[in-house]
Amino acid sequence: MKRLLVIEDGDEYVEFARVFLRDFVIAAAQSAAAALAALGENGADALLIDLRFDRAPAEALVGDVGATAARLFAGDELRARRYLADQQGTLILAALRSAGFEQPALFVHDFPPRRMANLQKLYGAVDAVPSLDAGAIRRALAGTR
Amino acid sequence: MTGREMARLVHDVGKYVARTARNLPAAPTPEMIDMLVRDLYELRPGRRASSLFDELAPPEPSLAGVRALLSEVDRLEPSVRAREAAAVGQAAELAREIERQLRALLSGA
Repeated sequence: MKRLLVIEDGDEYVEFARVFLRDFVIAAAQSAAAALAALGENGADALLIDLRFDRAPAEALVGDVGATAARLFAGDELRARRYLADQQGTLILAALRSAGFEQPALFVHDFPPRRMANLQKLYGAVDAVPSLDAGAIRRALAGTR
Repeated sequence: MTGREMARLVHDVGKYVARTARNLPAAPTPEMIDMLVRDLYELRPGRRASSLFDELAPPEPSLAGVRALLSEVDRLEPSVRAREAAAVGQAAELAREIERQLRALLSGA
Protein backbone atom coordinates (compact mmCIF):
# COMPACT_ATOMS: atom_id res chain seq x y z
CA MET A 1 0.00 0.00 0.00
CA LYS A 2 1.06 3.58 -0.67
CA ARG A 3 2.19 5.58 2.34
CA LEU A 4 0.54 8.99 2.89
CA LEU A 5 2.10 11.50 5.29
CA VAL A 6 -0.54 13.87 6.69
CA ILE A 7 0.82 17.18 7.94
CA GLU A 8 -1.54 19.36 10.03
CA ASP A 9 -1.71 21.14 13.38
CA GLY A 10 -4.70 19.16 14.66
CA ASP A 11 -5.89 15.63 14.02
CA GLU A 12 -8.91 16.16 11.75
CA TYR A 13 -7.16 15.19 8.52
CA VAL A 14 -5.48 12.15 10.05
CA GLU A 15 -8.73 10.93 11.55
CA PHE A 16 -10.46 11.45 8.20
CA ALA A 17 -7.69 9.65 6.29
CA ARG A 18 -7.65 6.66 8.66
CA VAL A 19 -11.40 6.16 8.14
CA PHE A 20 -11.91 7.12 4.49
CA LEU A 21 -8.52 6.51 2.84
CA ARG A 22 -8.00 2.97 4.00
CA ASP A 23 -6.13 2.12 0.82
CA PHE A 24 -3.19 4.18 2.14
CA VAL A 25 -0.93 3.62 5.12
CA ILE A 26 -1.36 6.85 7.08
CA ALA A 27 1.43 8.59 8.97
CA ALA A 28 1.12 11.95 10.72
CA ALA A 29 3.26 14.98 11.51
CA GLN A 30 2.27 18.25 13.20
CA SER A 31 5.19 20.44 12.16
CA ALA A 32 7.90 20.78 9.53
CA ALA A 33 10.43 19.26 11.91
CA ALA A 34 8.23 16.25 12.56
CA ALA A 35 7.52 15.87 8.82
CA LEU A 36 11.23 15.97 8.00
CA ALA A 37 11.90 13.35 10.66
CA ALA A 38 9.05 11.12 9.44
CA LEU A 39 10.16 11.35 5.81
CA GLY A 40 13.78 10.71 6.76
CA GLU A 41 12.84 7.69 8.81
CA ASN A 42 10.08 5.98 6.82
CA GLY A 43 9.60 7.97 3.63
CA ALA A 44 6.17 8.49 2.03
CA ASP A 45 4.61 8.23 -1.41
CA ALA A 46 2.56 11.40 -1.06
CA LEU A 47 1.85 14.31 1.29
CA LEU A 48 -1.53 15.64 2.44
CA ILE A 49 -0.96 19.08 3.94
CA ASP A 50 -3.22 21.49 5.80
CA LEU A 51 -2.67 25.12 4.88
CA ARG A 52 -3.50 26.98 8.09
CA PHE A 53 -1.74 26.09 11.33
CA ASP A 54 -3.50 28.48 13.70
CA ARG A 55 -3.29 26.05 16.63
CA ALA A 56 0.45 25.43 16.40
CA PRO A 57 2.73 27.15 18.93
CA ALA A 58 4.84 29.95 17.43
CA GLU A 59 8.06 28.00 18.02
CA ALA A 60 6.77 25.13 15.86
CA LEU A 61 6.09 27.36 12.84
CA VAL A 62 8.38 27.63 9.85
CA GLY A 63 9.38 31.29 9.54
CA ASP A 64 10.75 33.91 11.88
CA VAL A 65 7.97 35.99 13.46
CA GLY A 66 10.25 38.93 14.29
CA ALA A 67 11.86 39.05 10.84
CA THR A 68 8.47 38.68 9.11
CA ALA A 69 7.02 41.44 11.27
CA ALA A 70 9.90 43.75 10.38
CA ARG A 71 9.79 42.88 6.68
CA LEU A 72 6.04 42.92 6.03
CA PHE A 73 4.08 44.37 8.95
CA ALA A 74 5.96 47.39 10.33
CA GLY A 75 7.03 45.39 13.37
CA ASP A 76 3.56 44.06 14.23
CA GLU A 77 4.37 40.56 15.52
CA LEU A 78 0.74 39.56 16.00
CA ARG A 79 0.02 40.07 12.31
CA ALA A 80 3.26 38.34 11.37
CA ARG A 81 2.36 35.33 13.53
CA ARG A 82 -1.07 35.16 11.89
CA TYR A 83 0.48 35.49 8.42
CA LEU A 84 2.92 32.63 9.06
CA ALA A 85 0.15 30.43 10.47
CA ASP A 86 -2.10 31.19 7.49
CA GLN A 87 0.63 30.17 5.00
CA GLN A 88 2.23 27.45 7.08
CA GLY A 89 1.37 24.52 4.82
CA THR A 90 3.19 26.08 1.88
CA LEU A 91 6.13 27.06 4.09
CA ILE A 92 6.39 23.47 5.31
CA LEU A 93 6.28 22.24 1.72
CA ALA A 94 9.09 24.66 0.84
CA ALA A 95 11.15 23.27 3.74
CA LEU A 96 10.54 19.70 2.59
CA ARG A 97 11.47 20.52 -0.99
CA SER A 98 14.64 22.27 0.21
CA ALA A 99 15.56 19.10 2.10
CA GLY A 100 15.18 17.08 -1.12
CA PHE A 101 11.75 15.51 -0.53
CA GLU A 102 9.89 15.68 -3.85
CA GLN A 103 6.79 13.62 -3.07
CA PRO A 104 3.52 14.80 -4.65
CA ALA A 105 1.75 17.16 -2.26
CA LEU A 106 -1.95 17.83 -1.93
CA PHE A 107 -3.69 20.67 -0.09
CA VAL A 108 -7.37 20.74 0.86
CA HIS A 109 -7.97 24.35 0.01
CA ASP A 110 -9.51 26.64 -2.61
CA PHE A 111 -6.44 28.22 -4.13
CA PRO A 112 -7.08 30.81 -6.83
CA PRO A 113 -5.75 29.45 -10.17
CA ARG A 114 -2.84 31.90 -10.28
CA ARG A 115 -1.69 30.93 -6.81
CA MET A 116 -1.97 27.23 -7.67
CA ALA A 117 0.11 27.77 -10.80
CA ASN A 118 2.70 29.61 -8.74
CA LEU A 119 2.85 26.80 -6.18
CA GLN A 120 3.35 24.26 -8.97
CA LYS A 121 6.09 26.39 -10.49
CA LEU A 122 7.86 26.63 -7.14
CA TYR A 123 7.30 23.14 -5.77
CA GLY A 124 6.61 20.80 -8.69
CA ALA A 125 4.02 18.11 -8.01
CA VAL A 126 1.42 20.06 -6.03
CA ASP A 127 -2.34 19.98 -6.34
CA ALA A 128 -5.37 20.98 -4.28
CA VAL A 129 -8.92 19.85 -3.73
CA PRO A 130 -11.51 22.15 -2.15
CA SER A 131 -13.04 19.69 0.31
CA LEU A 132 -12.24 16.68 2.44
CA ASP A 133 -13.67 14.43 -0.25
CA ALA A 134 -12.01 11.00 -0.21
CA GLY A 135 -12.75 10.30 -3.89
CA ALA A 136 -11.39 13.65 -5.04
CA ILE A 137 -8.30 13.25 -2.85
CA ARG A 138 -7.64 9.78 -4.25
CA ARG A 139 -8.02 11.04 -7.83
CA ALA A 140 -5.80 14.06 -7.19
CA LEU A 141 -3.08 11.93 -5.59
CA ALA A 142 -3.21 9.55 -8.55
CA GLY A 143 -2.89 12.53 -10.90
CA THR A 144 0.12 14.08 -9.17
CA ARG A 145 2.12 10.87 -9.03
CA MET B 1 -18.05 40.69 4.99
CA THR B 2 -14.53 40.47 3.61
CA GLY B 3 -13.28 37.65 1.39
CA ARG B 4 -10.86 36.73 4.18
CA GLU B 5 -13.70 36.37 6.73
CA MET B 6 -15.70 34.28 4.28
CA ALA B 7 -12.69 32.10 3.47
CA ARG B 8 -12.21 31.51 7.19
CA LEU B 9 -15.84 30.39 7.55
CA VAL B 10 -15.45 27.99 4.62
CA HIS B 11 -12.22 26.58 6.09
CA ASP B 12 -13.02 26.48 9.80
CA VAL B 13 -16.71 25.61 9.62
CA GLY B 14 -17.69 24.40 6.14
CA LYS B 15 -14.78 22.07 5.46
CA TYR B 16 -14.91 20.38 8.86
CA VAL B 17 -18.69 20.24 9.17
CA ALA B 18 -18.78 18.29 5.90
CA ARG B 19 -15.65 16.21 6.61
CA THR B 20 -17.56 13.03 7.39
CA ALA B 21 -20.90 13.98 5.83
CA ARG B 22 -19.65 14.19 2.26
CA ASN B 23 -17.99 10.75 2.50
CA LEU B 24 -20.69 8.88 4.38
CA PRO B 25 -21.82 5.63 2.72
CA ALA B 26 -25.45 4.48 2.75
CA ALA B 27 -24.77 2.31 5.80
CA PRO B 28 -22.23 4.18 7.89
CA THR B 29 -20.22 2.35 10.54
CA PRO B 30 -20.48 3.43 14.20
CA GLU B 31 -16.96 4.85 13.85
CA MET B 32 -18.14 7.10 11.01
CA ILE B 33 -21.20 8.25 12.95
CA ASP B 34 -19.00 9.10 15.94
CA MET B 35 -16.82 11.13 13.59
CA LEU B 36 -19.90 12.92 12.26
CA VAL B 37 -20.88 13.71 15.85
CA ARG B 38 -17.45 15.27 16.42
CA ASP B 39 -17.77 17.35 13.22
CA LEU B 40 -21.19 18.69 14.18
CA TYR B 41 -21.12 18.95 17.95
CA GLU B 42 -17.50 18.79 19.10
CA LEU B 43 -15.73 20.85 16.46
CA ARG B 44 -12.48 22.25 17.86
CA PRO B 45 -12.97 20.12 20.98
CA GLY B 46 -16.16 20.53 22.88
CA ARG B 47 -17.84 23.13 20.65
CA ARG B 48 -20.81 22.81 18.41
CA ALA B 49 -20.18 23.87 14.83
CA SER B 50 -22.96 26.43 15.32
CA SER B 51 -21.05 28.00 18.22
CA LEU B 52 -17.85 28.30 16.19
CA PHE B 53 -19.88 29.75 13.33
CA ASP B 54 -21.47 32.35 15.64
CA GLU B 55 -18.01 33.35 16.86
CA LEU B 56 -16.56 33.78 13.37
CA ALA B 57 -19.53 35.03 11.35
CA PRO B 58 -20.49 38.68 11.23
CA PRO B 59 -24.23 39.36 11.77
CA GLU B 60 -25.04 39.55 8.07
CA PRO B 61 -28.39 38.68 6.45
CA SER B 62 -26.58 36.67 3.76
CA LEU B 63 -25.58 34.14 6.43
CA ALA B 64 -29.10 33.62 7.80
CA GLY B 65 -29.62 30.50 5.70
CA VAL B 66 -26.48 28.86 7.05
CA ARG B 67 -27.46 29.81 10.62
CA ALA B 68 -30.85 28.17 10.13
CA LEU B 69 -29.23 24.97 8.83
CA LEU B 70 -26.88 24.87 11.82
CA SER B 71 -29.85 25.30 14.19
CA GLU B 72 -31.50 22.36 12.49
CA VAL B 73 -28.32 20.32 12.95
CA ASP B 74 -28.33 21.24 16.66
CA ARG B 75 -31.96 20.19 16.99
CA LEU B 76 -30.99 16.72 15.76
CA GLU B 77 -28.14 16.28 18.24
CA PRO B 78 -29.76 13.77 20.66
CA SER B 79 -30.93 11.55 17.80
CA VAL B 80 -27.63 11.71 15.94
CA ARG B 81 -25.74 10.88 19.13
CA ALA B 82 -28.13 7.95 19.56
CA ARG B 83 -27.08 6.86 16.03
CA GLU B 84 -30.66 6.92 14.72
CA ALA B 85 -30.27 6.26 11.01
CA ALA B 86 -32.83 8.83 9.80
CA ALA B 87 -31.35 11.60 11.94
CA VAL B 88 -27.80 10.70 10.88
CA GLY B 89 -28.81 10.87 7.22
CA GLN B 90 -30.63 14.17 7.69
CA ALA B 91 -27.75 15.73 9.65
CA ALA B 92 -25.28 14.65 6.98
CA GLU B 93 -27.44 16.20 4.27
CA LEU B 94 -27.66 19.44 6.25
CA ALA B 95 -23.89 19.45 6.76
CA ARG B 96 -23.26 19.05 3.03
CA GLU B 97 -25.68 21.89 2.35
CA ILE B 98 -23.93 24.12 4.90
CA GLU B 99 -20.62 23.60 3.12
CA ARG B 100 -22.26 24.17 -0.27
CA GLN B 101 -23.88 27.43 0.83
CA LEU B 102 -20.71 28.76 2.45
CA ARG B 103 -18.72 27.93 -0.66
CA ALA B 104 -21.31 29.68 -2.85
CA LEU B 105 -21.10 32.77 -0.63
CA LEU B 106 -17.30 32.68 -0.91
CA SER B 107 -17.50 32.65 -4.71
CA GLY B 108 -19.66 35.76 -4.53
CA ALA B 109 -17.55 37.52 -1.85
